[in-house]
Amino acid sequence: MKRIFLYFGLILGLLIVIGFVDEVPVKASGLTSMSITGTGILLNASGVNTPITPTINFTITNPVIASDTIVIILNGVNTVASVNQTDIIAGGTCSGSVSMPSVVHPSSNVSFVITGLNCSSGAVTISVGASLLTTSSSGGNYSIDIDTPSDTGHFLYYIGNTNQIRFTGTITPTISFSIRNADDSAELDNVGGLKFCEFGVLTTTTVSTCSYRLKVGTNAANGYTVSYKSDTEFSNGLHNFQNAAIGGIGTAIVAGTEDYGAILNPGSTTSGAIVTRNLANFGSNALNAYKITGTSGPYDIYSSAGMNAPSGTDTTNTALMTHEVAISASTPTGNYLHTVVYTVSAIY
Amino acid sequence: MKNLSGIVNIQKSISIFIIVLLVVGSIIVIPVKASGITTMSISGTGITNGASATGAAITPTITFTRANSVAPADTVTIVLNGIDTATNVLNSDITTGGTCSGTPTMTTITHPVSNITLSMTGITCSAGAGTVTIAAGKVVSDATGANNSIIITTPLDYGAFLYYVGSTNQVKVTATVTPTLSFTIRNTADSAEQATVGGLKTCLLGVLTTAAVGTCSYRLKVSTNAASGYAVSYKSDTRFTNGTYNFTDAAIGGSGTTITAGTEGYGIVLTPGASSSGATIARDNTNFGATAGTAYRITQTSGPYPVYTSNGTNAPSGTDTTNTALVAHQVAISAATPTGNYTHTITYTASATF
Repeated sequence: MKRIFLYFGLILGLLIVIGFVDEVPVKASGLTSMSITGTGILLNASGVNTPITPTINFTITNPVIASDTIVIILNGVNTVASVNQTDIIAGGTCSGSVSMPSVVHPSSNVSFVITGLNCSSGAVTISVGASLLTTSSSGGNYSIDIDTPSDTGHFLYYIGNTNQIRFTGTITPTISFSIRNADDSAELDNVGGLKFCEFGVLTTTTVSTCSYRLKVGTNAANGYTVSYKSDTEFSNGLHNFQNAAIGGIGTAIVAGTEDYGAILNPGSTTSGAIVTRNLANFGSNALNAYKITGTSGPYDIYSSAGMNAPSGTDTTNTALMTHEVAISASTPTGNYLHTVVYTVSAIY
Repeated sequence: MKNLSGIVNIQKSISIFIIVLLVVGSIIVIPVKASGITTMSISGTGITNGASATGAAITPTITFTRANSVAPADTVTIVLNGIDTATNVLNSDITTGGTCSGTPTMTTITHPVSNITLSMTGITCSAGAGTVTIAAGKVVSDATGANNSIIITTPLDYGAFLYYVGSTNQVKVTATVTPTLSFTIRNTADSAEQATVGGLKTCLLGVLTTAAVGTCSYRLKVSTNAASGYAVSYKSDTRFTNGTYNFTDAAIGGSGTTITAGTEGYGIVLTPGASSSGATIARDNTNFGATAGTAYRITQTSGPYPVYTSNGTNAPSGTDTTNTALVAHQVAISAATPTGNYTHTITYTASATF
């Protein structure tokens, strides 16, 4: 009885050992570094109906001998001519002559069943000659399947744009313009809707000033330009005021000498874009006055190279226009006026 | 062992999946084809330089230059802030031009609508300047002035520009120069007021002799910012008289009189000077002729009689013997001129033409 149990135990142990031994040789392993490259292929992707000269790249763990079969299925790839074994070139760690049944044209999703190669572990390449294959006319994310006796792997070959997503969004273009008081606390005062800048009564002993702000808001990426045009000279109908200089260093207006112009402080932008005064018209001097009575314009005053979004009371990202006037004793009496029309254009 | 192999395979599958995701993610392309519309404008009846009066009937044409084309299936949206309907706006009221063609398909805009939006399909545009026009009688500018944005979007292009209604993009600059006019009688050097006696300025010819021509002089100093200038006139209270005898006066106008010693005669030699503004100074030919060196009568009593005029402003400052008029009285007596203290008082007036 003991022997019976002993034999039974030995048989059971042998079975267990055999069972384990049977499971141990896991030779099949995954291919790595798989890709498809070549003419007509970029980043494993091609256009539809595109002639391709593919090279299949993959790294094997286990060697292949000449009698082993390597199978490569190129889904999404069609023939344009029959593919013979002489059209297949093996490289990398492989050597030997490719033996393969011809893939007769026309054939879709072509498969190459290759023997005759000896490949050691490492990177293998299988190339197909030119003018034999083309991509499918239907876009898709196609699998390329590679099998050796001991290794297997799949990767995707993208034809068309089925692996792409177009992200779209709309930001409505905006532009706004207002003429504000010097503090940017309110719109500039107006009479009958027309904003005005009053010097009041002029004297020969002082330089009179009035000022306001030009406030532009836009999301135009390339910025904006502010221009002006005057209806007339600064005039009482008979006498036109002496104007400050156009461009250059401008004019320093002094009491007792007739002159009229505007000092520009173009400010900055919320986006940090550069704000540039127009040199031709408003020169380079931030303290001097420039002519503001041109009637043939529009004449550019300043430009921003980018967006601007002044909010609330903003005396930084708005342009300050300060009109200055002085008279001499010879300046004819009268009520002087002119109207400046501002325009803004954004560059999207 | 099968379980271990399965786990290994699952791990490999997950790894491959992650790799695939990474590859796919890296291949995803975001085609930023959208671009800005350039050369945007609004024109047409009732619109000048992109501006309109408030509540004006307009026939707007929107011009916009695109980099990309538009297909009939694409939606072209034009938001017309500051433009309101005057009546319903139908498909048939919209026409295209430039690089755009086709009859737009659009939901009727039923009057009244402010700040209308054209949301159109059915338009074909190639790249370049296209136009969209709304027929006459369909829309008006808003009743409230504003700097309105007009916004244009196509599937790939976008832009906005300003449409000015009313005068909200304008600044009227005003100033007042108060009229000024001053007049003084100064000494010849213009260094002080003419000397006075009892407050009345005097010009003393002194004791006259037949051997010499007596003279005295002063300056008339007028300052004004009257654009059209000024006139100086005089009027005498009497002739140059001792109360019983009136001096022989120089000529009125013409070539005047050359006063010479020993021959009774009285008058003034006028040098009217210039003006600081460059205005022309003209002696009054009727009374003070055309000759600068001869004397003219200064004793007319019915006046005022114009002496000289300026056709522009004058602002003599400080001591100014250029932009002031010099009046030089000249007198001569003959042996027959009656004795006595001769006087007359001249009143000058200056009037400006503003």
